[in-house]
Amino acid sequence: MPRYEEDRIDYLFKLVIVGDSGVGKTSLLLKYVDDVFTDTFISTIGVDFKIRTFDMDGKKVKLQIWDTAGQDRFKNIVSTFYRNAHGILLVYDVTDVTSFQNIQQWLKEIDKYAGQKAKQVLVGNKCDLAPRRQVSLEEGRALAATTSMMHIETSAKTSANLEALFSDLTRDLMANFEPVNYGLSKPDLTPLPPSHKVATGGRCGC
Amino acid sequence: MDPTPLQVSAAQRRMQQMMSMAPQQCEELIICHLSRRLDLEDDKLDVLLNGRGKPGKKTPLMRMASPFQRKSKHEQDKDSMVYADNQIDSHHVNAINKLVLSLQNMEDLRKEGLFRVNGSVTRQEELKEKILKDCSLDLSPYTMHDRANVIKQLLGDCSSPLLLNRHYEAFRQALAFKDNGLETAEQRCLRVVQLLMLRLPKNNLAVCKRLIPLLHTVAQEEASNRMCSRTLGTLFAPHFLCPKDANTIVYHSLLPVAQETAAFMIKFGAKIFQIPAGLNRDVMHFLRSEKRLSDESSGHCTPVSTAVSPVNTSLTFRPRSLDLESDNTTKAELAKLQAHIESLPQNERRKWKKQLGDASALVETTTTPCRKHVRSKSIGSSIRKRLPHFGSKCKRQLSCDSDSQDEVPVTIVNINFEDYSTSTAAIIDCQGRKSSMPTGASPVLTAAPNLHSRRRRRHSDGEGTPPKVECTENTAPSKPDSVKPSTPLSATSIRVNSPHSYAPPLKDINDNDSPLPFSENEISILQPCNRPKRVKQILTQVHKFSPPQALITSKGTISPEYRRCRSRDRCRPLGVLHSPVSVETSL
Repeated sequence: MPRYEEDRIDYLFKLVIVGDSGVGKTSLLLKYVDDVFTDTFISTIGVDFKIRTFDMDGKKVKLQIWDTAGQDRFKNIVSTFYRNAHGILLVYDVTDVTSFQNIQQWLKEIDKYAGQKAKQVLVGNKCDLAPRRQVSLEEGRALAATTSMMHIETSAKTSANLEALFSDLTRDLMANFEPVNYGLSKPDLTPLPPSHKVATGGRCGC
Repeated sequence: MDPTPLQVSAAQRRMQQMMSMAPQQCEELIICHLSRRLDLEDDKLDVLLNGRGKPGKKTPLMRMASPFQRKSKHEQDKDSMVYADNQIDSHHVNAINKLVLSLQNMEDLRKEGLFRVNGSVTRQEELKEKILKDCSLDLSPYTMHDRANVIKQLLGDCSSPLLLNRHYEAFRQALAFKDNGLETAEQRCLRVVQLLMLRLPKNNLAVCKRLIPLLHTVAQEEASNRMCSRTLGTLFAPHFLCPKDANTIVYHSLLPVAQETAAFMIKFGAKIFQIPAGLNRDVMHFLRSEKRLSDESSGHCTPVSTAVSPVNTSLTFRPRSLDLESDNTTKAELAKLQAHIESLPQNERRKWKKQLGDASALVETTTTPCRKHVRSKSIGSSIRKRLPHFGSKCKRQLSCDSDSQDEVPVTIVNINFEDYSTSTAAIIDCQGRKSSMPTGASPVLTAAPNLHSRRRRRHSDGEGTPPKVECTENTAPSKPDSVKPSTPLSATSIRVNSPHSYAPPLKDINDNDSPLPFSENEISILQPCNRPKRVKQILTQVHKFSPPQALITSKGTISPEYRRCRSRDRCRPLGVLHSPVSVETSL
C-alpha cells in the first residue's frame, strides 16, 4: 500500500511555455525542474517536456511542463501542444523589446489553438540584467492587465521569482480545476465480497 | 569580405566547362562517384536520381508517414512518385541573395543570437512582402535580426527543402560514415556532400553558395555571437532537409539527420563546393581527350560526338567484402548451409533448393557451375532422367534460339587489388565464348562480346592509352516484342588497361587536397542486367559471395535490378589473371 501512496497525486497540470526564441524558455524550465543553469545557447528542436511533483497546501501536485521551440519553423508542431494545456506561460526577454512586442503574436496563436480555460501568465525573463533592460515592469504589468493575465518577472540565472511563478500559478489552477482521480494513483485493493465467487473449473456458458 | 564575385577554383572552372560541353556525361561522372561512395542498393539510386522509387515500394520517409495504413493500388502508384522536389523560384533566390549580401558587416555578424533571436514579426512580414516584389529595396530600416529571419522564412516558404527530399538518404549515409583507415569520417562525408552539391538544381545551388559561407562566417564568430555551427544547424535543419508537409512524428524522426547535415555544411563552409579529387581527375582527363580529339579532327569538334561518346573514369569499385566484415559471417553461414544441403538425400536437397531461392542458386553454382536451368525442376528434368539423349539435344536447340533472340551477354571485368600490390582479374563471358585474353607482360583485358554492339570504342588499344578503365556505351537494338521488361536497351563494355603504361599527370589535379592513391583501387564493374541474378551468381564465385557494390548500366547508372533473372546460365569464368598493379603515386 505505501508504494501506491507515494505515487498518488491529487492534481496533474499541463503547462506550456511559449515565447520568442532566445528569451530563455528552456533555461527557465531547467532551472525550475533540475536547478541547473547553463549559459549554452542551444535551440530547442520541436518540443520537450519535464515533470516536477511537489506538495502544495497539503495536496500532491504534478506539473508536466512542455518546453517549446521559439523558431517559427516549428510553430506548426508547437501549436498542437496548446490543446488540453491548463496553463500557458508567455515568456519575453526584458532586455529585448521585440520579444515583448511579439507577445501579441503569441496571444493570437494561443487564441487560435488553446482552450478557453487555459490560464495565461506573462513572464518577463532575464530580470537580473538590469542595465540592459528595455521593457519596464510597468509596461509588462500594463500588457498583462489588458488581457487579465498574471504578470511576473523572473530570472533563470538567479532563480528570482521562479518558485513564486510556479506556486502562484499552481494555486490558481487548483482553484479552477478539479483534482484528478485516476486508477494508477489509487488502485482499488479492497477484497471482493465473499458472495462473489469466481467460477473455477466449470465450463463456460457459450 | 565582399563575396560578390564568388571565387572559382581551377577545378570548379573545369567542372563548369565540362558541364557546358557534355552535361550528360558530367552527370554520369558525378553519379558514378556518388554511387561508389554510397550504399545505393535496391531503388535508392532511383530515388536519389529522380526522386522516385519503384512503384508500390515505399521509402522509409513514407513508411513513417503512414505506418499502418493500407492503400489501394491506385494510391500506391501515386506513392511511387514520392519526392516531387522543386527548384527554388528565382524571386526567392534573388531576395535571399540580396539579404545575405546585406549581412556582411562584421558588426552585424557578431550580434548575439543572430539567426536565432526573432526580431519583430510585423516588420519581418513587411520586409518579406516587399523584397519579393522589389529586390532593390532599401534594407536600412530593418535590423539584422529581421533580415536574418526573413532569410529563414523565405527558405521556409519554398515547397521543397533546399537540399531536396530525395537526397535525404544520401546525407544520412554520409553522416554515418566511419573512418576507414584512408580517410577520416569527416573527409568521406565531405566528399559525398561535395558530390551532392553538384547534383543540386541551379537555383538551390546558387542559394547554398551564398548562404553557407555566410553561416560559416557567423559560426566562426561564435565567441561573440554564441552561434556555433550546431546551433545554426538546428535553426536551418527544417529548411534544409525536412519535407514541408510532414507531420510531427515524421518531423522528429528526420530532424536529427537534417540538423547534422546543416551543421556539417555550415562547419565546412565553402569547402563543400570544391570538386573532389577523383572527380577532378576524371574531368581533367575528359577535357584533355576532348582537346586531343578536336586537334586531331582539326577543329571539327562537334558537340554531337561528345554527346554520344563514352565517359571515362579512373574510378574503380571495390568488392564489398573488403568493407564489410559481416560478409565473413555470411560466407560462413552459407558454407554451413551448403554442407548441410550436400548431406541431404537428393530429393530432399531439391526441395530445399526450391525453398531457398536465391541461396540455393549460390549453392548450386558452387557445386555444378555449368548446369543449365538452375531453378527448373520441371517435366524436362524428369524426361532427361529417363531419356538422357533426348534431353540434351533438345535443350541446346532451345537455348540457342533464345540466345539469338533476346539475350544480351553479361560481361564482368573484375579486378580486385587486394593488397595493393597484386591484382586479380577475371573475365567472364556469358555466351560461353572466349574473350580476348591478354597477352604479354602488359595485360589488356578486353571483354566486349556484345552481339549488338554498334559503336566503336574511341580509344585504340595500346601503350599510352590514358584511362585505366574505359566504359564504352553500346546500344542494343530495342525490341518492341521483347518479353523481358528489364532488358536494357544498351550495354556497356569495359576495357581495362594495365596501368603500367599509363602514368597520369598528377601535378595540377588536386586543388583541394592530397591524392589518395589507394582509395580507388578495386574494380568490379558489370554489365547488362537482363540477367541480374546470373550476374550475382557469377560475382559470388569470383568475389567469394560478396555482392557487387555497383552494377553499371549503359547510362552510367547503377542498376538496382539484379534480382530478376530467369534465363539459363551459360556463364563460366574463362580465366583469372594475376598481374602486378602499380598505383600511380608519382609522376
